[in-house]
Amino acid sequence: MSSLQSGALEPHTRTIFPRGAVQPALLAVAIAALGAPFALGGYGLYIASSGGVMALGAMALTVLSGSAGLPSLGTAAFMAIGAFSAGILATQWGLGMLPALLLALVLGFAAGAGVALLTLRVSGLYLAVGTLALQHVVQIVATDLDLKFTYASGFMLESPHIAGLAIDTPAKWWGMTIVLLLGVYVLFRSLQRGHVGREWALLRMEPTAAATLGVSPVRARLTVFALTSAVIAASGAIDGYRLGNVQATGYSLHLAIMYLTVVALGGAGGLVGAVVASYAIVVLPDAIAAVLATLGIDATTRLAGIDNMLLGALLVCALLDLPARARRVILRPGAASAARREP
Amino acid sequence: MNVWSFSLDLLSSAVTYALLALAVVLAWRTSRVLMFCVGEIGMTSAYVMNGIARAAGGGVWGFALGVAGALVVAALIGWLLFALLRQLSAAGDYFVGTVVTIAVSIFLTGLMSSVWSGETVQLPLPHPMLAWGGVTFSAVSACIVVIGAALIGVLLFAFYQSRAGIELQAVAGNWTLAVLSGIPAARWFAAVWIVASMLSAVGGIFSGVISAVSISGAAVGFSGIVAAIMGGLTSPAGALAGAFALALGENLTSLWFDARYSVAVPVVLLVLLLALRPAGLSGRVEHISRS
Repeated sequence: MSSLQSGALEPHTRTIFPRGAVQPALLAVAIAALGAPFALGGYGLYIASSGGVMALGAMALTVLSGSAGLPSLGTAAFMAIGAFSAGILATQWGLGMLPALLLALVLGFAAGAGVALLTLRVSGLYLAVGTLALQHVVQIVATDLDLKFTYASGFMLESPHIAGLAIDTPAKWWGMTIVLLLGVYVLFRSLQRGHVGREWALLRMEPTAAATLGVSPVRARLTVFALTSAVIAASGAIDGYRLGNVQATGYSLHLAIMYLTVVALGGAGGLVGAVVASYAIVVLPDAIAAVLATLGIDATTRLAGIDNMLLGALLVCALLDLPARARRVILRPGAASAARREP
Repeated sequence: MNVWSFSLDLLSSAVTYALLALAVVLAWRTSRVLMFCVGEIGMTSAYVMNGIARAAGGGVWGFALGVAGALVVAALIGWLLFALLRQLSAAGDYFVGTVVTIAVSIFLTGLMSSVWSGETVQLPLPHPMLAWGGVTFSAVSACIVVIGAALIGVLLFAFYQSRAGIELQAVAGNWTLAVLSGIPAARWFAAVWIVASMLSAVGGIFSGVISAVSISGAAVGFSGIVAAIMGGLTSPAGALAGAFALALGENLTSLWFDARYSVAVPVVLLVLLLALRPAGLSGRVEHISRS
């Protein structure tokens, strides 16, 4: 958890629960998921769907930067590609969510492959800088599109229809979110566990050994970049529909950093961790507001700023593994220095 | 617009980018961390300067007090970065260090938005025009160029002519060997981050003087980072060249096309650079050595 890249060969095979506890845990999650519409009000379900949609992109990012070890700052850019596809298709051609999803997948796939091709010669930090360049390019183009088509008021999106069924209530949104979450989880889980995932892990940990075994770094990098970008773009399109309005200002670097925080909190390559961390980040603004309200502080106008400050602090904590350090110091004084001496 | 005032504008933005780029290079040379938060440190410092200068009633002394306060705040942020990053040395993953600076940048953005509500402010400075030999130009731009050039000169001297350049390089190359040779590595490490933050502060204040102080003004940091990457991240002289090329590109774009397109210049340069010459324009790692 201390790093986005380092760790065991397959960090995602770590089990959070003891072996016997997996089935009860799954049961509990299933009950919670199905019971949510009855237990939560409209706002609660809205938050539940926001966290779920965020988790779609976060799972893709954790596969890209955790499993494959390719750090990316381009999440917001790929989401913008999806969201703007949805916005333009809906307002200019009158097409619904399914065509938008398809277009987002194709464009995300192409943009991801393009970035991977452009940055084939660089790795690590320079790769992150390359995705940062993409973020700036997309931001400029998105601002222009926003201005040209909507005079900067944003693309308005109506409730989507799937096979004649309108997704227009928080409960229906929640149902769709569960289906999507399950689908994306199964997709990435099988990739991580299978042949492809082992190739990514080997390329990340032992590039020379991977080359000796005939694993093509170019193909692996193109695949993982294109695939995860397509998923992130699709999640951007869905998120656009969920919000009902797509604006260029919503897809800033700040959003990319938010996803990076989710991945750092959830642990590199950890799909379940990414889902849990997504919910933690989505609930954060409300939690701050609630805490401030109980303290009797009215900080409505400053809430966004405080949220950002806390986000930065959380990211630092996750990266430096501060909770584990604190635990070591409190529970076993001297343990940290003893551990350092041992090989 | 005459040639003289165009050149002066060009030089003042080049100097601003150069200071930010030098901060990035300084940090990279010592710790192999890309200092992502130069723009945010700069803008936070500019806000602090504006607040203190106005509270002190403006004037030359208020301004000086403001600059001093901004530098102190920047030094504090630099020390904080050092304290965070030294926890990382064992992990040996450089990208994590860079993400720490990204986290600091978002923290500072939040700070600016919650303390100063993210408003756009003009620094309390007069903008007199000077006439000299039949040429009129902005006194503020001239001051920026002179002060910036002096600062850059001192830094380059320290890099290339004093012990500091070589000792910093030793710290970056091999921490253990550097310590065994009697180089106070941790102290250099702290000094570098504090100096880099203060350079960012000066860059941010310059940028605030040229245009205005605002949260979005932190984007100037991106230009500084691109300038440093153009120089190959390790070369101070390369960063200067990068900053000049970037300023030239932006100013010519504003002159010939539209000021709106000048934001695209660093992006286009960065994309070209990453695809064609990822190691920087010179394409080599710069070492300073003396026998």
